[in-house]
Amino acid sequence: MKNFKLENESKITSGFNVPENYFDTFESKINAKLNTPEPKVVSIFSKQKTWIYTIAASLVVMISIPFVNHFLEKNNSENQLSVEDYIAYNTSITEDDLVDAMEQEDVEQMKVEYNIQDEAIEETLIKNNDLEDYLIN
Amino acid sequence: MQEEKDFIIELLNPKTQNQAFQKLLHQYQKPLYYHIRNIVLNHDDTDDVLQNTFVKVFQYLKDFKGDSKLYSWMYRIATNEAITFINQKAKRNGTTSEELQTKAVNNLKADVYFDGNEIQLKLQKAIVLLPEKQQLVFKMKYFEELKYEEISEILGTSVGALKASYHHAVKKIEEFMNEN
Repeated sequence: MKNFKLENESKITSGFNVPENYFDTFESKINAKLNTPEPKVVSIFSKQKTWIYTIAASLVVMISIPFVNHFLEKNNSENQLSVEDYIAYNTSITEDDLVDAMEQEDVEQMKVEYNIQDEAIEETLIKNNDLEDYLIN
Repeated sequence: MQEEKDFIIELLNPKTQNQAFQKLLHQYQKPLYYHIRNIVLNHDDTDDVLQNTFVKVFQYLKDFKGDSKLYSWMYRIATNEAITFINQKAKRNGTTSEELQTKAVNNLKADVYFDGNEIQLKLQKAIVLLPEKQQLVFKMKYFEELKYEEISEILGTSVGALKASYHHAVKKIEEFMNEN
C-alpha cells in the first residue's frame, strides 16, 4: 500500500461489535450487582492467621522472659535485706564475727576515706581550745 | 452547565439517586463500552471492566465534587479501570502489557465480535505498536471522535501535548500502512 493518508481515506471504524441485546441486558446486570451486597471476601491468609497469632504469642512470651527474671531478682534482693536486718539485730553475732565472715574485698569497700586537709584540722584546733587539753592529757 | 449541576444534585440525593443513576447508566453505557473496548480489545474483558466502572462510579458518587464534568470523571474512571485491568492480566500471565496487547490484536481475526476488514485489522496492528499514551489519544480522537478539549479533561494533559501526540501517532500509523 503506497501513500496511505489517514485523512484521505474514508473513515475507518474500529470494527468492534457487541453481542445482540448486550446493552439491553447490561443495565439490569449492573442494577442486580449494585443491589446485592458485596460477597464477603475471605482472605486466603485467614487460615494462616492462627499461625501468625501463635507465633506472635510465643514471641511475646520470649521477649517477656528477661523482664520476668528481673522482677524475680528484685524479690531476691528484698530477701537479702531481711537477712541483713537479722544480722544487725541479732546480738549474739559480734562485729568481729562479721568481719571474719567477709571477704577482704568487702572490707576494703566498707572503708571510708576521710579527705581532710591540714588547714581544716588547724582551723578546728584553733576553734576548739579544749582539744589541746585532751591531747596533752 | 446548570443542567448538569441539577443532575448531580439528583444523583447525590438518596430519594432521586436511583432514578438519576439509571439515566446515567443509560446515557453512558455505550460510549464507555466502546472507550473501554478500544483499550482492552475483546468483548468479555470489556464487559468486566464496564461493570467495574459503573460499580465504582456508583460507589464514588458521593466523593464527586463537581470539580470536573461528570462525563470526564466517568471516562477517567473507565480509562483507569481498563489500563489497570490490562496490567493485572499481563502480570497474571507473566508477560508485559505490550505483549498482551499484541497478542490480543492477533486474536482479533478469530473474534466473533470483530467484523473488521483487512484495513481495519491492519490499523489495529499499527496502533498497538504505538506508545501507550499515543494509542489512547489516537483511539479517543479517531475512533471515538472526542474533542481535544474533552480528551484534555479526561487525561489531564494539555491540548497542545495531545495534538502533538495525535500527530505523531498518525505519522507512525501511516508509515506502517505504507510499508506493510
